[in-house]
Amino acid sequence: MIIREILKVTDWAIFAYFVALNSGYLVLICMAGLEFGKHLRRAPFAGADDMFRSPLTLPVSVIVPAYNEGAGIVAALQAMTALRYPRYEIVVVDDGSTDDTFERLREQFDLVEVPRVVPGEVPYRTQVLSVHVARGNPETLTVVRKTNGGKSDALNVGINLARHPLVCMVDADSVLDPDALLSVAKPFGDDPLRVAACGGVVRIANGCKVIGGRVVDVRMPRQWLVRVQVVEYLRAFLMGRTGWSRLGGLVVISGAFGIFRRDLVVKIGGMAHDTIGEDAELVVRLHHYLRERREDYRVIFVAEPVSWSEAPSSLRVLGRQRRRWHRGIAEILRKHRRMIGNPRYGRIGLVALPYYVVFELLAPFIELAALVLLPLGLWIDAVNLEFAWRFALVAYGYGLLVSLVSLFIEEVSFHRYPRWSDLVRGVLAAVLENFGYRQILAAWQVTGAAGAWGGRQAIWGTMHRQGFDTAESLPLETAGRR
Amino acid sequence: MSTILLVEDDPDIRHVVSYKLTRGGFRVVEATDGLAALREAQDSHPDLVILDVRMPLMSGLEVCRELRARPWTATVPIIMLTGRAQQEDIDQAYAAGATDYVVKPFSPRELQHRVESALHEVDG
Amino acid sequence: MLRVFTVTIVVLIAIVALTGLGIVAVRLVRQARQRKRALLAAGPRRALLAFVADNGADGGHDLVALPDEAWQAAEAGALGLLGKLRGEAHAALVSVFLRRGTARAALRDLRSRSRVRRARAAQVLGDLEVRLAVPELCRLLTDRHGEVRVVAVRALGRIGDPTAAWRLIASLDQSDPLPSLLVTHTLAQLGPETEVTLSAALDHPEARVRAVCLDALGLLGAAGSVHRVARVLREDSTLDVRIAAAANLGRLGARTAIEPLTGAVGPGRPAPLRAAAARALGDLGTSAGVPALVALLGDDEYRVAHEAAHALRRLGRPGLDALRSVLDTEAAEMIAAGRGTHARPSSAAGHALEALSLASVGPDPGASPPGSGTLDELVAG
Repeated sequence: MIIREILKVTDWAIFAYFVALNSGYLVLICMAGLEFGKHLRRAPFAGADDMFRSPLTLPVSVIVPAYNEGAGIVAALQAMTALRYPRYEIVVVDDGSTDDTFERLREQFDLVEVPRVVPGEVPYRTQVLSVHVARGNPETLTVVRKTNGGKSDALNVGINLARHPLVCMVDADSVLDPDALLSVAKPFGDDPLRVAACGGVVRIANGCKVIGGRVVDVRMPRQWLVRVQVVEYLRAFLMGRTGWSRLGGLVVISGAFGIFRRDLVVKIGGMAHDTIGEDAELVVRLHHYLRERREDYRVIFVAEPVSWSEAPSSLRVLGRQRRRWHRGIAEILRKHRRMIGNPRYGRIGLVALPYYVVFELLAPFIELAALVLLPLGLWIDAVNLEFAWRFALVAYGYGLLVSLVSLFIEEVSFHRYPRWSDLVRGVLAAVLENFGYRQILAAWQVTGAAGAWGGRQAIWGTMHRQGFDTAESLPLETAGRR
Repeated sequence: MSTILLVEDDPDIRHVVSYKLTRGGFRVVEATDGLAALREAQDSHPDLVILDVRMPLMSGLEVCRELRARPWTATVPIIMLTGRAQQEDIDQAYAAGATDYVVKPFSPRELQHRVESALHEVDG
Repeated sequence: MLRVFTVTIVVLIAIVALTGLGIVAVRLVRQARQRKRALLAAGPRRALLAFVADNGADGGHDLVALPDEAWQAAEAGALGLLGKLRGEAHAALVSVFLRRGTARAALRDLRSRSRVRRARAAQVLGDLEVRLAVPELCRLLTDRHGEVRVVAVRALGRIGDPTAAWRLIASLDQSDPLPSLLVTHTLAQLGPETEVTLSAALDHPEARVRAVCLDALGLLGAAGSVHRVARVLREDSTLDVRIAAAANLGRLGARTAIEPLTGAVGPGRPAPLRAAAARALGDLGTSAGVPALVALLGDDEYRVAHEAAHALRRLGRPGLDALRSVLDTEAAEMIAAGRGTHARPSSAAGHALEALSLASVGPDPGASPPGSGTLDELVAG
């Protein structure tokens, strides 16, 4: 029967897709491994101390958008004021919080209102209500109150008020390592003419001991749902992005922790309001702008200084997060579709973006198709059982291998999880990922992408009242289809 | 014998200073971060505090302010250790309540002199 | 077909198992190595710390006589210590390194084929402040690899020998040049004798070179170069260089800088230059700049008005008085025009208000420090 033939071909095609996907990942991961080795060998002469001591090190404005963060905002800011970096300021943008976020800040830091003139370099849509500074430290901490307008808008106001040439956008619930700012700003010092943006790795804070806004003990989370995410983040964030960074095709910087040249951000108009993944979209737009002008530039990913984020621990919240992320990918790729496959945009246009379309955006569709077509093929006898289970085993097994290789490289280079039990948990989580997690993930992601294409506008109006999800920034590669 | 509270997270510096001061006849109490420092200050009522500006958990400036707010350390000499010597860093240290300021890289002998003269001033 | 699959599966299982074992093996090896190193290094480290604390009074012989393996384990820590010390302790530690032949080995490694070795050697020579290495380090300024060049620059700054100045300046003028801030910092560390060389380089054809020399002169506080810098401000062909000249005139702090700066804030000049000159007038710290700054408060360019207002704030009493009088004048005008004091202030008044209120913000000595309550809980618990 013709249908049988078609199904057979489709099944083989899907198989080939998975093999290609995982091989691609393996390449990225090996690139990442090489990059880590290079980075670690250079640690003795990297000059971090000199950078800290030099009076010329570029100062940074750390922008922290906050919505109803009352519970953790004080601890988070106390940690941020103790970062190891020579000169920096923190601009907290209170996006119309309805809880005691501002009150807590006012009390803790003795905030005093100042009639600051807000420049309009980057357009923003809401109203700035008041600007406050810390009495004891007016040059270091500024808190802006504004009417609610969503994260993009809050960031744009923060960019306007930022005084320094580098801006770093950090989520209010992120926990930064003390040297994080130093390491992520370092590429700007080493290669000032070219580096346009730099991202730092995000790791999962669940299960870790956090004291005073700082991770003091790294442990695997308690729940398997989150443990699987840890493996995912290692594979996709850490390895995937480092690999792309080495290849010169880094498209995304996680918004939870990214640093940009302020003048460039202003030139391209700041954060966009029309997509969910505003942080990832900013970087794509940056690529667009700089390539149009044929500038020699770099977008870099730094693997060692870490930002820690709380990952969703319930299916409901995780589902919401992943739907949003995938929707963001779809929206960004649609918005910048002219760049895809376009040689004018170099490696980004020819390699990175097409990769995102085929292996990130469409991956969940193929995954679901496989879940449907393989049993279907079995049922109508297009494929026999012997073939089917081997097929599945190879496809999933290869994926498992990719995860294990990531764990291996993590063990060689950073080994952040000191306990043996956590190591075992990591390996088990890598196995477990295949039994249910990736399937549900595919369903969420398909829904998310469909939402983008269904024509429903991402009205920032409805989004913002939910506040910012934890770890809401857009990693793009967490799909890690295998 | 005077008690010195040494607040420094770098183990090398901590050991060198501690060793030096102990040999110099002082009793040295160590703390590796701000919270521990405040606890130790409460427990041991030091006669002098050596405090690193950059530390995990709480910045040294913050610790200094907190020490000044507590009656047992409101008037003790506080010597700040820091890696940066720009005017703004110095101003910030004094504004937070420090009495003296030593820049890293530092000389252990010089630090001991400063400690001795600060304690001398308090006595005399 | 089925065979292929089965074989693949077997291979996969094998690789998966190997990787799993590999992870375990890597951890075991690393932990064993760390334990061994810690054990080896424990004794030498204690000896090192005691030696340093005693300003190298004694213990030097023992350290020099340490077997290589023990020293290797402790060497990284010892190098780290170098960066933290000054004075006799530092000199004593350096002599231990020298007597162990570290500098000799590093000098040899400067010519190694491996760029990691070259860079590491440069780093060590800088840490040890080996003046002999300066010519070789200068040679590394044109090394093929950027990271080696960067370490060489830092090492030269650490060593502080002014004879390196010309080579450093020249290294700015090549394709793929060195990072400017790094070179500036190093040049400033070479000491006041560099001033003459820097001043002469202000005529260099390459703009980046001129900008770096200006910044280095500013860092050095080379007041003798004010006239040269002022000439650059007036006559240079590149805007960025003129901006750097303005900024550094402010840092040099000489009264003779007032006239060129007030000239530079005048209308018709590019906005970034005027903003930089306004800022510099604030850095100068003399009230002679007040009138020029007041004129800028109402400027259309945000940056210019902003810098002018804050410059006035930094000038202390005369500046603050001027800001207040601007506000008073405007308030009087509003009343005279019948608009009332709640009318929207002009942009000049806005900037003045911002600067004035920032000036009045500062630690209140009488008030208790904020938030002690929460901390008390943390400390007690």
